Amino acid sequence: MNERVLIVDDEPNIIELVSLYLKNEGYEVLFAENGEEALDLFFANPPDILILDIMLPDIDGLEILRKIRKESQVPVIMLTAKESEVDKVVGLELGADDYLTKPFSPRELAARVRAVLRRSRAFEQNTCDVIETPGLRIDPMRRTVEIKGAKKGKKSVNLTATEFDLLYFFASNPGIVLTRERLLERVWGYDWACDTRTVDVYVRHLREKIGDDAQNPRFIETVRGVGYRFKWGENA
Amino acid sequence: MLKTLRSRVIVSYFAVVLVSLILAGIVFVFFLARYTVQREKEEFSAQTLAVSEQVRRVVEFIDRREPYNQERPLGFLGTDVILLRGILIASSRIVGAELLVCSETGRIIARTPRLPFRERLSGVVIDPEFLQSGKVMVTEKSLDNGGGEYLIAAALLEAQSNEKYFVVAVKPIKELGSPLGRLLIYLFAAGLISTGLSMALGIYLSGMLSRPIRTVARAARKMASGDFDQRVEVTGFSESRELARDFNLMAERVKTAYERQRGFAANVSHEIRTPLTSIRGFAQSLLDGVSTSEEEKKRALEVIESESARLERVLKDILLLSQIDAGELATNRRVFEVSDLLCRMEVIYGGIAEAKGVEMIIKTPDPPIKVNSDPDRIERIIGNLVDNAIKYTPEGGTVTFSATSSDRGVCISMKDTGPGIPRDRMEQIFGRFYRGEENRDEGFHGAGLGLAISKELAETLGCILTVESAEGEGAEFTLIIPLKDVVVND
Ligand SMILES: Nc1ncnc2c1ncn2[C@@H]1O[C@H](COP(=O)(O)OP(=O)(O)OP(=O)(O)O)[C@@H](O)[C@H]1O
Ligand SMILES: [Mg+2]
Repeated sequence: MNERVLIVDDEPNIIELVSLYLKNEGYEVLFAENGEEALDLFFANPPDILILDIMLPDIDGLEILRKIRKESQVPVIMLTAKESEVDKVVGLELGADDYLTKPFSPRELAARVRAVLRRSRAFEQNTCDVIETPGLRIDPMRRTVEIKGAKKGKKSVNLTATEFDLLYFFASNPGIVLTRERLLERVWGYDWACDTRTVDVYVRHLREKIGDDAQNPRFIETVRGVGYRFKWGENA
Repeated sequence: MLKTLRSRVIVSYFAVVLVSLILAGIVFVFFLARYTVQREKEEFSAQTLAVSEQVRRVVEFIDRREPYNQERPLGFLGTDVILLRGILIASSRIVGAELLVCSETGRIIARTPRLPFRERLSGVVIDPEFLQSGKVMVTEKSLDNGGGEYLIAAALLEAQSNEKYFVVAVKPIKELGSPLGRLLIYLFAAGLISTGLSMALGIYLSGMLSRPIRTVARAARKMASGDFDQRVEVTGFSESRELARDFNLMAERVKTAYERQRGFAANVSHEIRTPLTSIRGFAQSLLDGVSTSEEEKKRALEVIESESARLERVLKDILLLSQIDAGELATNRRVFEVSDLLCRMEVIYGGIAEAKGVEMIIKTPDPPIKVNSDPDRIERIIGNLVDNAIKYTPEGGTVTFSATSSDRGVCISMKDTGPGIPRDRMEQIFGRFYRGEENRDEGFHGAGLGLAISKELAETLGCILTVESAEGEGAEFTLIIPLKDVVVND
């Protein structure tokens, strides 16, 4: 059975372009040019992945994502033409799994669709162990993260799927320097060179959520010019 | 050192208080000194008189015991002189001065021991006539023996003798005005307290003066670092209120200008990125071999072509707007006929209207009207209006295009039978990048710059662009070229 993709964008040319590529890869493509249509279509024919433009004539793309997230955990790739919207996309509570800024290469979009789908399939099959460090408790089954404070207090934080995967991968490889390329490959599932800035954006948001300071990190340390490293011990 | 407003105010307060205190002190001390010396002199003479009275009584008492004798002038015995001296010594304590009794010639008969004179009262002229009436003569005299200046008071000592005797009191002048010293201490203390108070007042007042300036300065600093939400509280004295109000007004303006600028940049980038995505994507599809059939290849090239054209149009529009913003737009005025313009519109847009199935009616003015304006700009303004009218009028509708003379000038109007414009959007449609939502998904790929350009161009030419419409009943846009630009034919 072919996987179904729903594309929502108000530009018919872009829909045409993206569906050209996705159909070529063997996906079943549905599309909508406005928010209303998109929601109807989504609930009538639930897709396996959603490609969503932020700027739509009627309903804001983020609003659509919020509505959909109430019902479903379907993977979502957001499209945006405004650099300033990137933070909104990534920072969203039940955020997008990935994003692309226009102009994007349709080839890259197709590759990301593939990767995101592979990732969500992998997650469904995986049974991973709970990781417990002096500062964190990461439960992949329940997808919860607890931060252990200095005063024995515990605080659970909400992470998006990508943020969770990123943190879990970090915690599974403590003390090892992880390059951006390696992270893209293992967390995002990209097996080709693409923009590594995505990693930095997600790491920044992850740090913010788990209360980590980039200058004086407790968990994720920046290794200048190379990548990142996860610190296991509290005061290591 | 005196760089801050605060320190300046404090120091100037201090200086003012100090100067006025010193002035008041000088005047006060001067008059007070004169007054107390006067008072003391009077008291001194009164006391001298009292002492002389006392001495007289003693002498009378002695005289009664020992009748007057030529041999014993004044009736003073050796022992009586001792008695007299005793009286003088006792009295001198009360008067606070040295005392003596002397004859008219200045010969001293009795004296207190610390008196600066020995044998005679030299250099002091005593006028018996003056003293006769019971008065006291007060003179100031400086003695050569280094004792300094003295105040000398003399009173007549009455006796039944032809020789006259006097009681004389001598007091160093520097002992005069001694209570002034204590007063000066009080004065000094008062001065200290008042300067202290003035400092405190200065600190308070300077704080009051500098606080609004400092809050505004702080807010301005934050604004400079990019926080445009800074507002200051309108409080305090009227100038500070004015400062705060004006600052807030400025902050508001800066914020809207900044936001408009940012919104504009974001919209520009959106309008450029969107066609770029299609161009790049379809080009890639040709390279990747995703578009394989002849039909698909042709389609890709068509999209690339049309999106390039769209990109070009957006860029031109943005360039034009930025020229208007910078005030760099050159206008090229000349006299032309309005009906020529209408005919050009028919040539350009007639085909498009026909293709869409919209009837286009043109009413040329009779008699012809000539105006002095920039024909290219006017054509651009009108062109945008015609483009909209055809674009938003559904198949089977009519677009009426006319020019008439009125008392306000030449009205070029564009009336359509399209969906019209809701009342609450009448203003918005002239905004940059504003596009009606309902039109967007019907395949009109405008950037929303058409009406903004028309409106702003009209303003630079001194024309007025208005719209009248009721929802569902079509819209009528009217460009009014002012009377002063209308050329009257003779
Ligand atoms: N004649 C009209 N009838 C109904 N609506 C109109 C008419 N003219 C303009 N509008 C509304 O005003 C909006 C702004 O018009 P404007 O010409 O500025 O932008 P556009 O036509 O969408 O794009 P562009 O002119 O840049 O290609 C339009 O999107 C439309 O909703
Ligand atoms: Mg237009």
